[in-house]
Amino acid sequence: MNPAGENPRVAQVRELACLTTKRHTILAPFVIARDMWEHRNMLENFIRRDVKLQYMNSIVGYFWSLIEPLTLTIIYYIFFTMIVVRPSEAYAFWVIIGVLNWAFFTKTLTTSTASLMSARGIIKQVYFPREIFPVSKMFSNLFITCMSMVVLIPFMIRFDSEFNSNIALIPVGFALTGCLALGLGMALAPFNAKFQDVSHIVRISVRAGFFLSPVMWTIEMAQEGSRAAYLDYILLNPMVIPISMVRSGFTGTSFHVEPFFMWYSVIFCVGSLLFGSMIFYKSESKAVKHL
Amino acid sequence: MRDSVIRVENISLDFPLVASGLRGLVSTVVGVISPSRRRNFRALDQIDLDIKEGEVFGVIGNNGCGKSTLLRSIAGIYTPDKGRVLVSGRPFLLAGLGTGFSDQLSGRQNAHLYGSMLGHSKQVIDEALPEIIEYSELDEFIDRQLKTYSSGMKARLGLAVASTMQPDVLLIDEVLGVGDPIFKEKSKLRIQKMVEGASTVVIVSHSFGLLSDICSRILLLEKGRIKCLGTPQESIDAYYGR
Repeated sequence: MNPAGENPRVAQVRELACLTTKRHTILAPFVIARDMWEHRNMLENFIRRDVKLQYMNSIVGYFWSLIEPLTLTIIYYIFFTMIVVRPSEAYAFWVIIGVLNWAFFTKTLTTSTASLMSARGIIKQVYFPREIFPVSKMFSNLFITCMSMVVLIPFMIRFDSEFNSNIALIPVGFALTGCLALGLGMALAPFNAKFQDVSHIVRISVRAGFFLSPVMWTIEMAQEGSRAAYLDYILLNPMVIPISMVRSGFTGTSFHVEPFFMWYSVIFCVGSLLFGSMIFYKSESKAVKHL
Repeated sequence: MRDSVIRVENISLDFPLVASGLRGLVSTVVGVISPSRRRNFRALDQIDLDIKEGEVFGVIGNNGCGKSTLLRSIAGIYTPDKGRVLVSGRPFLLAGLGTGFSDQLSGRQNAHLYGSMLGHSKQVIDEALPEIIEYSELDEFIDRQLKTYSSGMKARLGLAVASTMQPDVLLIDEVLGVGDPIFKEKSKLRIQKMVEGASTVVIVSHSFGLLSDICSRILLLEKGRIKCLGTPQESIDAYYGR
């Protein structure tokens, strides 16, 4: 027994608790949401770091996030004109919206998949909820994407974008994109800790996904004439609806698909976040041993 | 009777052995189908400990005997495969100074990042910063990128931020031994201060002199098993096979 007054901190006796106890996997989304809220300062610092690292040590810094989508758009525009027909003038506008949204998806997916592996130094020294690694990647990419949306302003002026209720679809489209990318990333991150092959598979899949998603094309193009026969298959890709939503929000023109496919995409994206978080929650403690 | 602060209840911990290449894939598939054929390395084997309030508890053993794994299990970093670890409050692991630092960020930004990882709010870090800068002797270097730092400077910054923690349960994993002799002495003092401030300490070290000075009991691990658990002298004797 310590004599009174020697060290007041010693007097606090707390109950013994097991740090690594896990709740039922079904509750994972709620547990993770609560943990993220409790560790919001840490989350903020991780996001801040990623955003700073993005722009640091370069001469034009922030402008790279504008130059990148612009360059891609010019390349796709030339490419499209060469192989197909002379597209509508607004085509460049449609493409750049697609490019921004798709870049958000791929960067979130690839960085969150690699997030455990790249933070292994920290993971082995400090304990805190590991969900923070993939989740912070999603938010930092979202922030960077929002910053690069400035590039859309000249296009919106040039093509007389109409501001209407469709504008509400922009956050919805980005939220669905973020849910899908983070969900897949969380599901894959523990496996990537074991086999780095996962990162390579993701990279290749993303390349293929680019052509299957409406980045270079729009849903209206897929609905034209004889191509409409394949529409049902194309809409199985859950990214078609989110990209079309964002595009419709910025251009002000509505798009039409069967409500079934709308719901399919929404449920797919939100569901993958829920399932992804459960897989992550269940397998991260085993994955840590592989780091 | 004093209260238990750390109770390690018969834990075992395996590290999976995964071969690289195709063999790794085959053995993983085999492991999924029949778990009994998984190949593992047993890092901790039926460790049972009860560490009381106010104890300074030493852990010794050869490299690879499971000392760090035991400490990380107590810190919550590894989940044991069998048994469980009970701790009162949140333990703090002091290990590998400067892990998690980003070379591209400045010392100040890294202090904020690392501080937040330790669970500090922005305000707490802001208040601690003058003291951190003073202790780490970084002066104007604090706003330069970390890649311009020497390894000693990084270690000083790491310890300065880490020692803002005042944990009840402190776990130390061999952190002395970086930097110049003066800093070694200084870091020893700082760690001693943390040890005095904490109610319970578990310390892994190879310096038996230090351990026998400060520890009430020492655990000797051998290949993940308890070889000896007793007074410092008993365990050190057991280590040398006396």
